[in-house]
Amino acid sequence: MKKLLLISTIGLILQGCSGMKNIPMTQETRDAAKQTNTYNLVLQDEVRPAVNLSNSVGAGVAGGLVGALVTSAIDSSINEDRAIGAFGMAAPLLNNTLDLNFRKLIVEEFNPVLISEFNAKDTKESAETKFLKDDKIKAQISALKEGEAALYLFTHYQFFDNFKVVLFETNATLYVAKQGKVSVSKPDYRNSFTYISDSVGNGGMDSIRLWNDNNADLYRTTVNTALSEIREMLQHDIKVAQQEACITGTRYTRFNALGELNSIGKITEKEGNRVQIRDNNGSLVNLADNLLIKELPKECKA
Amino acid sequence: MKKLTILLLPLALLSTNALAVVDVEMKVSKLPKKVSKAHQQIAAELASSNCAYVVKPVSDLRQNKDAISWKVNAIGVQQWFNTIHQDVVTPLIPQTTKDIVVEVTPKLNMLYTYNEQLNINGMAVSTVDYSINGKHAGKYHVRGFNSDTNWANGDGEFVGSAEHAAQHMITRILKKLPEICGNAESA
Repeated sequence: MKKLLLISTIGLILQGCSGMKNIPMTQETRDAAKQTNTYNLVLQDEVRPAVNLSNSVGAGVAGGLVGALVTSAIDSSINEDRAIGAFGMAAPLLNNTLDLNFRKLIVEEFNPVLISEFNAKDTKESAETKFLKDDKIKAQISALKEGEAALYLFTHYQFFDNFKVVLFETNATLYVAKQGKVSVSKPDYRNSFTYISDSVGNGGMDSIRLWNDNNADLYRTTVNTALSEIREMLQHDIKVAQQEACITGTRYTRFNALGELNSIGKITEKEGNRVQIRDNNGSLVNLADNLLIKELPKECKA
Repeated sequence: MKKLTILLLPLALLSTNALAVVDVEMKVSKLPKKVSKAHQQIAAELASSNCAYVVKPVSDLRQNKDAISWKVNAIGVQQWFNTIHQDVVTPLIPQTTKDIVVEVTPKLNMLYTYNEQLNINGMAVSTVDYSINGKHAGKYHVRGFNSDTNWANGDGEFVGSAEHAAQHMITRILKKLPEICGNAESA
C-alpha cells in the first residue's frame, strides 16, 4: 500500500496535479542545492481545445453499477462529439500555429532561471517529451549526493470557457540531498504556477477568430507573456525572505481538468486588469480581474 | 464529495500506471466499414473528375517522435504510412492520363493521443503541398481525429486511437483532391 502511494505520488508529480500541497522554499534547501539536475517536461505537442465535458457518472452511480456503466458510455459518446466539434472549431488557429514550438519557447524562458537560481548544468534546447519511468525517477532522487538536487517541471496548457481564455500551468518539484539524505516521498520544495489569459471575444468561433487574426498574433503574444509571468512567479516563490503584500482576500474563478471551479486566496499584486493571487493552497495564479468573484478582506488577517 | 471521488479515482489510477513510455508498433488493421465506404465514394469521384492524380506517401516529419502519449510511443510510423499508401491509397487512385495532373505531397506534423475523461483521443496533423502540372500551387492542412472509450488505459488503446486518427487524416487528404482539381480547371 505504501509502495502504491509512493508510486502514485511520483506519478502525480509528473502529472502535475495542482491539488498537491505546496511546500515552501527554505534557506536550508536553497543553500543545500549546489547543483541541480532538471527535467522540464511538456507532454503536449499543441494547445488543447476547450471541451465542455459531459460528466454524469456521479448521477449514474445512483442507479448502481449498471447505471454508472450506462452513463459512462453516454458520457464517452457525448464527449467524443464535443471533442470533434472543439477541434473543428480550433483548427484554423492550430493549423496557423504549427510553427510555434512551445517546447523551445519554454526552455528559452526558464533556462536562465534554472541556471542562475538552481545552479542547473544540464539545461536542454527543448523541453522533454517523455514521462520518466517511476524507477528512473526514484533512482535519480536516491542517487543524489550531498549538494545535488533534482528539479522536475511539468507544464500543460489548454483553452477554457469556450475558447475565451487560455490557461498555462507549471508545477515545480525539487528534491535536495541534505546531510547525505534525500527522501523520495518528501520533496524539499513544491508549488504550482498558473497564468490565465484575459478573456477574448464572445466564445467559440468569435474567440478563435480573434486569437487567430494576423497570423495568430494575440495567441503567440499570450504564450510568450504566460511563460514570462510563470517564470517570474517561480522566481518570486523561491525567494525565502519574500515580503508578500496582501491587497485583499478574494474568492475567484480558476480552471482545471474538470472545468471551472471557485477558489480562495489573497491578492498580492495588481497591475492594470491583471492580479496575482496567492491561493490558500500556496499556489500562485496570475489572472484578469474579471475572474474575481468577491472580496474577502478578512483573508488578509488570516 | 462522492462525485469528486468518482472523478478523481480514474486520475489516480492513471497516475499509478504512469510509469513508463512503452514502444508499441503501429499495425495496419482492417479498415472499418464506414471508412471503406467513404474511400469507395472518393475513388468514384476521382475516377469521374477531369484530373489525373499523383499521391505521394505521407512523410513522417514530426518534431516529437519520442512519445504519442504520456505512456506510449508508436514506432514504425513511416512503415505504417508506406503500407497504407501501397495497400489502401494507391488502389483508389485512377491510373489514367488527363491534361491536368494534381500531385500531393503530405507531411505528418504531429501524431498524438491523450486521455480526456473516459475517452482516449487521437490526433494526426498533416501539411499537404500540392502542385498542378508540376508547378507548386499551394498547401493545405488536414487533421484526422479519433475518440474511443478508454476501457483499460491499455498501451494498444493509445496506439489504436493514433492509427484511427491517421486513417481519418488520409481519408481527408484524399477527399480534398476533387476540389483542387475543380479549382485547377476553373483557373
